[in-house]
Amino acid sequence: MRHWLLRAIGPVLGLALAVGPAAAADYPSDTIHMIVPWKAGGGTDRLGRGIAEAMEAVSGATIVVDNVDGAGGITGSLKVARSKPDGYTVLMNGTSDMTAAMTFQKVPVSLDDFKYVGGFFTSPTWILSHKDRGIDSLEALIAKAKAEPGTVTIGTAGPAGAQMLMAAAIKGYLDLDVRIVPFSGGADLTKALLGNQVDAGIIHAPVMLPEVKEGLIKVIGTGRPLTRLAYEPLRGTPTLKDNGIPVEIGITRGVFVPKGTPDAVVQKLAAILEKATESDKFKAFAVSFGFEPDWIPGPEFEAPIRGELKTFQEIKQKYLQ
Amino acid sequence: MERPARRDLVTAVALAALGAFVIWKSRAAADVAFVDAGGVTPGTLPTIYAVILVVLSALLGWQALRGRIAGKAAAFRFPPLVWARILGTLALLIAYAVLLPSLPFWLLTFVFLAGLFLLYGHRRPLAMLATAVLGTAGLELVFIYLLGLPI
Amino acid sequence: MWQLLSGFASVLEPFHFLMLTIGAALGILVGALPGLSSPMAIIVLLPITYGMEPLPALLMMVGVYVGTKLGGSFSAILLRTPGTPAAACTALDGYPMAQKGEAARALGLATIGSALGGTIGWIIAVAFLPLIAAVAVNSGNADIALIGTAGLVMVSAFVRGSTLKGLIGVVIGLLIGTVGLDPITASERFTFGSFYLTEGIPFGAALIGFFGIAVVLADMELIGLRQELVAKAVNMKMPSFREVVRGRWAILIGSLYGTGVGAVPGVGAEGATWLAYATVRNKSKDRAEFGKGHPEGVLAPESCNNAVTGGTMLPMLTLGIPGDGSTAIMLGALVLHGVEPGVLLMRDHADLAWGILAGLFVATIMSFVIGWSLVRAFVYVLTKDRSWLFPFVLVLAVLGAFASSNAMFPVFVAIGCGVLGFVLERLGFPIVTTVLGLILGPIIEYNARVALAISGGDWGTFIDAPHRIVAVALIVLLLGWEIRQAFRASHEARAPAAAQT
Repeated sequence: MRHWLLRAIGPVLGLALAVGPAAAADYPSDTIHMIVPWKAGGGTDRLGRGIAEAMEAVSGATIVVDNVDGAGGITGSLKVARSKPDGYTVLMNGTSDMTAAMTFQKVPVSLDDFKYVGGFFTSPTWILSHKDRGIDSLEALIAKAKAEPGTVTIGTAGPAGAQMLMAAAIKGYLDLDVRIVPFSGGADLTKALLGNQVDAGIIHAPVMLPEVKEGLIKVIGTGRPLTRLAYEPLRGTPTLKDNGIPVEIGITRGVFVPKGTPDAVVQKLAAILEKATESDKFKAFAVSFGFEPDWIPGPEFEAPIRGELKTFQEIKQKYLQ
Repeated sequence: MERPARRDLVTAVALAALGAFVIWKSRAAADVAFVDAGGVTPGTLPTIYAVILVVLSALLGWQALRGRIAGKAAAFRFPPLVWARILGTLALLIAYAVLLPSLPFWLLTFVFLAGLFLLYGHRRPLAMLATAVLGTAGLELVFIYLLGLPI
Repeated sequence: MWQLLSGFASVLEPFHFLMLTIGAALGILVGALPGLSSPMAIIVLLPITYGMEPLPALLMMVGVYVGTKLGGSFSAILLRTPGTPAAACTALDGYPMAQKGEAARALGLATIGSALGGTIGWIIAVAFLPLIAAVAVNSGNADIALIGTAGLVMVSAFVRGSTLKGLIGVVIGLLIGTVGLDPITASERFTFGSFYLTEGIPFGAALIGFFGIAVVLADMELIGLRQELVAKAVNMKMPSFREVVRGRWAILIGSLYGTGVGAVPGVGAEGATWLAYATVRNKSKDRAEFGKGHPEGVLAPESCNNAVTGGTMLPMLTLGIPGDGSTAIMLGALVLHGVEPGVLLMRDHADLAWGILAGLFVATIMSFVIGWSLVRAFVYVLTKDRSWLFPFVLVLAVLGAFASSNAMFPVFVAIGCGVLGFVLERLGFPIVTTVLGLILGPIIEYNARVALAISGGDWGTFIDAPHRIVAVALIVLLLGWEIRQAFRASHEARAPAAAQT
């Protein structure tokens, strides 16, 4: 519930009195705004709301999810980067969504503008194909592309995201003559896959898992091993590396805060996030979503991200210019 | 030349200039063609639109020169009071939007509403104040308290 | 059949019915407030529904979804500022009707149109479920591009006065729509180094500006005029049964467009209403009366935008594909309640799916009942002196623009469009056409280019199926017809124009 008066008097008083380190001791004592930099209803949004609910349950804090979409997730990220570093405005986003956006656009925000609280849901990016296309595996797709140059179509769930980079990697590293079709987002690609309009589509797992389980859509390859997938039969799906493409692509959803946030506050937030990730409620939600949740503490969450940005930039430079 | 015709001519010239600008800018647009889309590049459609705009503007200008007015245009003949109100409204609106991130919603909204009431000619302080207060309270309740808008 | 009946049974359980009705009432109110839209309301209700079972949660959202379609027309008719983007078209004839003092009649027509359109759309959707699902899945990007182009070509239906200025208006709208990142290559177009512009001109905010703020600025001269207050005695007469029967074709055409276009994810209610309006106008014998308060000018768009709900629910439930922002959130809500949307929803969660479908129909009825009873209240409140209403309209415009993506940039876009709309209207350019260009331009471009990307640059993709050939032929015919109309109009104009100089 909102403290109506606090909202009115707070900012005015806040201007006069600097709120100091005492804040860390009783964090969280006010509503936390979790910014999801995507439209409501999408995959990241659903995960964000799921984790927010779990965080509320384990900590008693109030967490409100705000959708601030735009520029492939950068608008919302920018907003958080520039907000007051008191731990009450946090960002929930996916690692490769951020690095991909930074690769494709010149953005006024960088990876150094954040502190990394932790990750809670890791999933690879996978390649799907409609069962009637007759393509059973990535190997088959590659073979077809070599046999019939210029005809194979690979759709991506966005023109400037991790999925596009994966398509570029496949095309580039193996020097294939394929047509990359950039759809506006996951929804449009899903429709095209269901309608069997493209040979293959690249999208973050576990989108379309129900259709996969039903046999309507096949998973022909993945950017990273699918060992944690909630659907056992597919855990051994060949990866890009198995097919000669030396790149790993997946996405880890996590929480970020502006870089000026005091460490004590970050620790507390991380503790809440960890408990929420490991709570039964979130476990059940995540499994129904498709993957077991995976708590990744701050430092490990932060470690690979810069390397990923460099890899993405290389791919773009080599194959997309 | 008749006023309406002159107005149309000026408009036509301005639009044609806009079209030319778009065409020029579209040529300079980076062509990242890693997708083969039938020769359509980022600059294609804007160029087509701009060319059509230039052609239509030329037509408009030509009609204006021949004295044929295209469509009824009420244009900008307003009494000074109305002008003051229009510009005042815009000024208040822009100030409101600029200040919203920094000052409390209820304060700005109250001032905004009261200011506009004044601008639109209301002279009964009690009615104005009451409406502004109630209005602000209602808006704060619905948007900030209930909807949780992070404004 | 069985499942549908049991769906109705679930909906009529007291708690479920209550949630649905509350949703509908909220929806009408939210819809009537310029600036607030259905996705916003639904997203706010989402946390409130966490503790509920999936069915009542979804029923409440469906209620809101249906209610906003009606509510939006209320402020479109009374204030000329559409409460929701889908209601923008209703203002074209609704507002003039209100100006003539027939506000209640206009609102009544909107309510009836919405109810009938929603019902017809629902019947079609349920009866032809597999067909509509197939349409949704098999619709290709080329088809959407063709639909969009057809809409654009019908533009002259909206031009009053000068065809030339109308066409220029459309082109301006098309150009505004190109600002931002290119949809295919993500390269920057006309962003002038501004990071915010990379998102393009946010459509919702632009609409609020063109139809909300511009209206306030343009009507400023009406404030304080004594005659406006005394006015035509506001007539509370509601439309008669006979009137509705006379408008039956408009309702039917609107419903067909709505269901069809709604089922094809990608065009949306906003585009569909303009198509319906244009078709009804072109077919009508009193074409000249459109734009001045023709009842069919209200019935067509209103039945269309409610029929869209039947259309969009279908792909949402049968395929897990959202047709618009609201259904996208509803899909998210399903996930958060532990239900997997997708091709299997109808099979694995039949009760829930049929309950939602039944709920759609009941929501349409309830929103009719609630709306009809509120007509007089709305007329009373919203026909007050503009000098009291306008400040609130402006605040709502700012809030609505902000809420569209929780940022201040759309607010400035709205203000900018407000000024632009004001200037264009005064110069004789119908901003309706600009809005049309702004809506349809990006849709046409994105879909056409994706279609070409799939076909590898082969333009033949636009005529490689029978229905596409028909569409192209229609577009060419329409174009030819409009050019002929334009020539005829300018010939007729020569006589009075000569008298002017």
